[in-house]
Amino acid sequence: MNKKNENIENEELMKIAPTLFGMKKVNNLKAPKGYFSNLADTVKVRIDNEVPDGYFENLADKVMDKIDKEETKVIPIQKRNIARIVSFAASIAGIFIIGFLLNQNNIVDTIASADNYLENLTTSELDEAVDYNEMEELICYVDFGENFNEAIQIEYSINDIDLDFTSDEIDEYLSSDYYLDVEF
Amino acid sequence: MQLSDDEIIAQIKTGQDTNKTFRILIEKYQERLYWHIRRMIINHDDTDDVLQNVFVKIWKGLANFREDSNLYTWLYRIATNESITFINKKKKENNISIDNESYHLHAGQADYLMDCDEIQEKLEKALLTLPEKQRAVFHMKYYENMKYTQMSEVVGTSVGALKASYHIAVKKIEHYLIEN
Repeated sequence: MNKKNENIENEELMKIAPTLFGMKKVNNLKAPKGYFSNLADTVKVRIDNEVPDGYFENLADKVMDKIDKEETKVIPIQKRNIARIVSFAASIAGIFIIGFLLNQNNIVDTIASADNYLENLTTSELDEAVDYNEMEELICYVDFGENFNEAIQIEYSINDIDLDFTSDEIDEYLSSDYYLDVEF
Repeated sequence: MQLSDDEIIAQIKTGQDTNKTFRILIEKYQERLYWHIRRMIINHDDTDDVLQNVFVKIWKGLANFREDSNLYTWLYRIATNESITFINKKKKENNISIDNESYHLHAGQADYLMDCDEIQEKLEKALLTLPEKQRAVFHMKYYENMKYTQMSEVVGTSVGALKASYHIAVKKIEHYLIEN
């Protein structure tokens, strides 16, 4: 406002309100201490937390879209429980199968090493090593391969053995060197 | 850091450092807008609430701000409209007038005045007898020395109507000061 206009307005004020004109122009209201130093930060927080324009206009569509997508994925609770039980049973079965297979490998390894051991034995060594009382049973399990003829001979010799032992003869046999542990 | 209104607008239009520039705008106008609102609403807490709303509206509206308008009057117009909307809402809710002293006592604002002499206190009470919009007109003219043309842009009233409104406000205050 230029000086001339200000003077005119002051003159008018002096005429219509001399008491007011004579008073000092001071602000008698008070604001809390430090209020203005924090206001910009407060406003920033308010702006950051404002709901974006047009948010509610699209909200219903967004929610319906989400519901549609969710519905395609939904598995009924009953089916979900069955699925859980099946998956639990499958994991238990898996553990058993793995355990069994590992065990099988050990058995196969054991038979293979026994097989190998027996293949390399001579007839006389076999005579010494084998418990003749268990021979028939053993023949059922062991593949003698190339030593088949020898095995047949042993079988024949077993058949020739007189199986009528007295108790003393059995005791003597068990305490003798003939009794050996065969490791498989 | 101080920027002119044109610099603030130009900076915001570039979209770079918008937050920083907006902070400059807040710091530049916060006190003037605060007192403008406070003169109408009187209560500090309500003024604080309205002022924050005003800045949020300014933030949202800045992108669409037309450069042919004056930033200064645009800010005052938002502040005036927000204050009047608030006052009308409050009147409806409480069914009491915001102009009388009981409202300020009710709002815990009995100590809203600085320690001032008797005549200044009387002036403050006289101001409370004015309708809000007239109080805003008186504040812009008497305390802020705003031009009538600027005031016209702020309150959306003709210069003639504003001159008449100010004249009536001054006479009412003078009458109150003499009679009380």
